[in-house]
Amino acid sequence: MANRGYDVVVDVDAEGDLGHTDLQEDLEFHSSNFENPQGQRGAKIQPDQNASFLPGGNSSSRSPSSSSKRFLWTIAFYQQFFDVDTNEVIRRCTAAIFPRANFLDVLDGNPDFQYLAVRGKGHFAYDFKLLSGAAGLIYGYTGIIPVGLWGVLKWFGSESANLLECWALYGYANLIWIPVALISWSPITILNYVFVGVGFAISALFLFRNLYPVLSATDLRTSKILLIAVVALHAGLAIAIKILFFAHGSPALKKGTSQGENSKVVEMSLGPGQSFTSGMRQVQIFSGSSHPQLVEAICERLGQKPAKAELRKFSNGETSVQIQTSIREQDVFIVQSGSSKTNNDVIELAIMISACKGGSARSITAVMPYFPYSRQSKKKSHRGAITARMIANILTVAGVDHVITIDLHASQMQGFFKCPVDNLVAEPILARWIRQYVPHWREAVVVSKNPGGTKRVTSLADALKLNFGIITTDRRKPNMGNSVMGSMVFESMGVDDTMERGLPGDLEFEAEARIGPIELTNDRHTRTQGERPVEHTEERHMEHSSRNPTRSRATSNAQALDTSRPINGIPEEDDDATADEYTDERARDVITGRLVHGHIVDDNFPSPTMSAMSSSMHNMRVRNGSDDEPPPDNMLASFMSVASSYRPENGLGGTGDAAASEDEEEEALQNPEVETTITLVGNVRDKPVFIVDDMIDKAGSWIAAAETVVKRGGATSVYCMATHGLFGDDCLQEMEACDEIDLIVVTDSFPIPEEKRRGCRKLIVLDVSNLLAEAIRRNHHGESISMLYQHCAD
Amino acid sequence: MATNSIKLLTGNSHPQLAKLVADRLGVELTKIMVLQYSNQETSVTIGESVRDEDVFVLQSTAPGDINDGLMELLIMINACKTASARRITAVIPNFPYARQDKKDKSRAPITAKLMANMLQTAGCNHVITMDLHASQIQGFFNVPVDNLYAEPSTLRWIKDHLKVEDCVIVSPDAGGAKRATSIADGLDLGFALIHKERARPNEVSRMVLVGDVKDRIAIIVDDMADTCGTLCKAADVVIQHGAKSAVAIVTHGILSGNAIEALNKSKLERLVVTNTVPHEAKKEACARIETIDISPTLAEACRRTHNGESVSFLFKHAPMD
Repeated sequence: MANRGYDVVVDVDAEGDLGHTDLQEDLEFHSSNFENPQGQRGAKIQPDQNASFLPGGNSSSRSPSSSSKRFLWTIAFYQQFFDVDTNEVIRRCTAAIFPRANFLDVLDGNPDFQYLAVRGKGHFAYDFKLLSGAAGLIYGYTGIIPVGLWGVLKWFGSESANLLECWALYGYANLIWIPVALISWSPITILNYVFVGVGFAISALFLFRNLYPVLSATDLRTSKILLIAVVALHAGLAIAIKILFFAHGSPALKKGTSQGENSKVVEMSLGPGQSFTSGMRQVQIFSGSSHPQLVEAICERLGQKPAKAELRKFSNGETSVQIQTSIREQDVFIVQSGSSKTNNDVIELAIMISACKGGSARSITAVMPYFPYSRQSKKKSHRGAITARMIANILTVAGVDHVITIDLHASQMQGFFKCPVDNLVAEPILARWIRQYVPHWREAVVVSKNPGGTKRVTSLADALKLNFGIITTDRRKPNMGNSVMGSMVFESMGVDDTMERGLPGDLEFEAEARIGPIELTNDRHTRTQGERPVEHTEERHMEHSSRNPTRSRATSNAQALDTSRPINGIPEEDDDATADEYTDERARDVITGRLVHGHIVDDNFPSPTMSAMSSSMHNMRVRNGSDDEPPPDNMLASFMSVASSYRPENGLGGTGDAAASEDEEEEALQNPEVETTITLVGNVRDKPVFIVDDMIDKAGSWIAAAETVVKRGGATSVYCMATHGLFGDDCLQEMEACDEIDLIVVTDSFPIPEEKRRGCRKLIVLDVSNLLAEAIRRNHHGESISMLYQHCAD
Repeated sequence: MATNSIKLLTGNSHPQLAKLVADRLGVELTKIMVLQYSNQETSVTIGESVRDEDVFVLQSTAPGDINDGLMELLIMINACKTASARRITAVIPNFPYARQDKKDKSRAPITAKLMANMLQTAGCNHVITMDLHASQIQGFFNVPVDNLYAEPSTLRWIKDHLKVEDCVIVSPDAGGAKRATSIADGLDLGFALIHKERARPNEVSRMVLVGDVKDRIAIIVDDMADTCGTLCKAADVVIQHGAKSAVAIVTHGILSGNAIEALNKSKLERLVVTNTVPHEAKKEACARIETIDISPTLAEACRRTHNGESVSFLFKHAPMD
């Protein structure tokens, strides 16, 4: 002590930590310690800046003189250990991985704990149990071993050892595991072992090189034993890391994979750090009676149990709700989807909300993966109720503060609520499934089975960078002269003087109308002169359009190869100016078919209602038609469907958006008296097809669409994809029986009863519980949920 | 052209009652389609114009599918609302969830209040109901509620079918004492009360009779008979205490669960219910059930509401058939 000047040795504190301090300049501290010897503060005092046992380690220029007056309980005391800038840390890290110089030179007498901060990123295990295990091992190893080493060195009289420097040395030695951990995600086990071996070699070499000079201060035999012990311990660490934590040998991960492919898919999409096993505080998640499995999955994901509530029916059928846990000042989430007893579910949800409101919950969020009555979102016919709005109002009046739902039938329904609505999208889940499980998905075409769903389809097509197509069905009107309809259409076109503005919102028309702008414009003048205007127009127009697809196919194929730009399928009204130059060639592939009894029939199939007209149908195959053929009538008919689709019942409030007339459509498909024309716009030949809509309820339109794309369009396979699998009546059986449909992909937002699932090999149910759980978690913590709308790249 | 006349709509819950009321009012039932989709969602289409009309939506609540009936009612009201009806009056003879009207346990929902809010949200301007389980439910509404009484009809039935001077009115529970005394006053009869200790809803444990029923016809009066446990036990009690026979008169004969078996085994001679709740099938299964037709009262209430006349007359008088 005497040779070091003002040495103060502070006593052992409760934890057995020793502080060995060498103060040179701090007179104040010195004197105070003299007055209070044996360290009443029980403090460890800052390390000796000059105590480095290395040549050149004496320069303590970085350490400010004022730092000596820092005590254990001040932040400043700890601050000094982190008193290095980023460049310095990087320099040290580099030196640790590429051990050229003796590291303690690099440390420059200012040992830091920066690696503590760095190490945290080392193991991005998805399972937090695993992470805590890994952290425990690493920190334990780097914490305890240096202390032991230092103690041993001390014992053998190596005065030059310093505890902090030992820590720093081990910390930086373990730095190599970060890159090793990063690259060890490869599935090849051997490769991982090689990486771990290399990592071990580098860190051991680093340790060895740095410790050797220190240890050599002791006698030869001791130093050998010490070095061997150090290396052996390090090897143990390396093996432990490999066996326990790295990807593919891990016992924890085996548990994860057994949960099934689908859950793994989404788990990965959420990325690291989004997983949690500890429950959220102040949150109660209640399950309605409609879909308990989904709630179980959500709660498991959130790491908590569903809150207790007793849902019963009185003997007279009244619903009884008893909330059996305290919810005062808590965030309450009530998960209720639809089921086969929709009305019960709605009332039950309202009563549960009301009960929670009465129980002084802080906020009540209704989580409705499938929003009941979402198809009745507007006045379809005269004096129909807007039931979806009424449901929204009922929930509001029951006391809901927030609504979370998935893929509303019409997103405008968010406006029905007075409270915020999070309309989540299942599209990323579907897209991810496509990417992972569909062979040749990059060649596939996304097809909408009705014009209303085009937005949904184009969105998915954009996300996957695929082409898209549209299918429309029209009730054939045999007695209605096409010329009358046609004149109406061309009238409106003529007024605007632009081709695209014929009838806003009708895609089929737009796709056709772009075909022959010049001819049509000329014909408009003809018509104004009043010489059989309409027939002439149609003749010219049809001639052109029937010729055009064959000509354009070659170019479109070439285009498909060299460009992957997303299709600008539906130009908005204000896009008129650009639409001409942006015209998509592929949209000219128009295929029609005849639909009787809900199935595609041959061209010479006798029409149930209009055998007179069917005689002119034998040359309807557009794709095979040569240039010289006269325009097929069915082209005319499908083209004119613009007008015929304006059914009288749509006269009131018909906005032409999402599948307004779905049910009428279904009726028409099933009605044997009505023959419908089904039109496919887009090229699907020799490609897989995804038919996408928001829900599958009745099979008719799906089967018709699948038959159209396969029989008429020549698609190789058909995937029917939807968010909500309602599967009313025998829908699932019918789709299962349809040979053209290869797979049916839905999410589990709507409960699918086990007896329906049984024996259905085509059905694939994707998991949305992660999406909902994440939405719940983010809502509770007040985080943004916009990330849930994004597609994750592979 | 709007005639501002009565348009009577009804759902699937109780078409017979609606027919009776319509006949009494002399109007045709408005054409309406109440369907269920394949996924059990209810769809309502009103077949004729209700623009600027005085719409009455009659919907009872049949046991078993109360929620379906309720949603039908709400959607019908909402459909009328969106179809620009001038005024929408919900005629709900048996108000659903009327027994869940208070927070009797921690975090128990006041569902009756929720129903009131839902009806108003759907667009209801006026409510006509009958013999509410608790009159306070009227206060749950912000719109006028006419709570009619089946009592005048009941009195007339007793006068017509029983020897009035031999009777005694028995209330099966303390809550119904007011109703029972009212009837006893109306008939100038004695009154007895059964005190019961009820452990849980729909379960009756022990009963104590207060009053004299010896050698009399005990008329047990209540507002609803659900599982009939109370009524059967009450009948046992009054017979034990020497009553000649036991007759039960209730307004709402829900008769759910195994009420019919209980009735058939019980000592009740007759069970008289009004036709606020459909019970035709049960009547066939149990010969002891008799029906009081209260459609004249409902029809008269509708007529008076439509014409802006006082309804209070109906509280004391039943219209003649």
